[in-house]
Amino acid sequence: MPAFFVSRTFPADADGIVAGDDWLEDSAGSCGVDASTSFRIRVCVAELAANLVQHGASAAEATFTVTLACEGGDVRLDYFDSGCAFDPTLARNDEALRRGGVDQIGGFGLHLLRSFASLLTYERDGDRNHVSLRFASRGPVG
Amino acid sequence: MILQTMEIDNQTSRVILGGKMDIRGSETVALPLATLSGSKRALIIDMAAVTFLASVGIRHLVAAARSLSRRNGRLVLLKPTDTVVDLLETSGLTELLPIVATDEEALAAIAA
Repeated sequence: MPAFFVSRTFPADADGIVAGDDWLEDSAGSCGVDASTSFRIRVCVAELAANLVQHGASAAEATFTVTLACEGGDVRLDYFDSGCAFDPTLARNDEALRRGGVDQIGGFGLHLLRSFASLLTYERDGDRNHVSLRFASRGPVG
Repeated sequence: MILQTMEIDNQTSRVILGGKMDIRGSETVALPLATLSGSKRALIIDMAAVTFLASVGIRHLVAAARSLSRRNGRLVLLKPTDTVVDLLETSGLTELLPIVATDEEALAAIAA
């Protein structure tokens, strides 16, 4: 078990995204993640959850779950949702996104995910999406 | 999300934003930003008190900047925090959304 481990589930709507961000900000602070890394983690979750709300949540009871684990300077974030299958690792070419900016609206959040996380993996776990992200914190973790 | 507007002259406004520019906060700023970008020639967006910025918020800033640009106007971001600067640099948007550190730099940038 990592030195710090927390997990919580939120409804897939705007209020859920806001509540999830508040909780994640507090949790990252509690495990000693530096402000810059915390901000990057929160942006990634906001993008994943916003994508779920806007495109992937087919049922009113859709949810997303965030798990944060910190140990030895490494931060692992696992994001699960009950939306339709969506693989963020299959984002379009990053350089094309940079050139196109937000004209490439669908890929913009994905570009941030790929840029901010040191490792990004995806698997379809039953009827859930599971996105795993790693970050290297510059602050004292674990 | 807080939004305050100060008119510098009839062509230029200073918009002070504060709080989280997330999915909820962006709803607050969307209409005022769109209205100002359609009626002014330059906007100085004071970002010093913006504590979080998601891509939905960036899109509103970009839309405002492009609206101004089409009429030879300009938008600048004044004093964003280091984390917001990191996000904007990673996004590759600092040419469209130039960042300045002082009021003097902001006025010079919109006059350029």
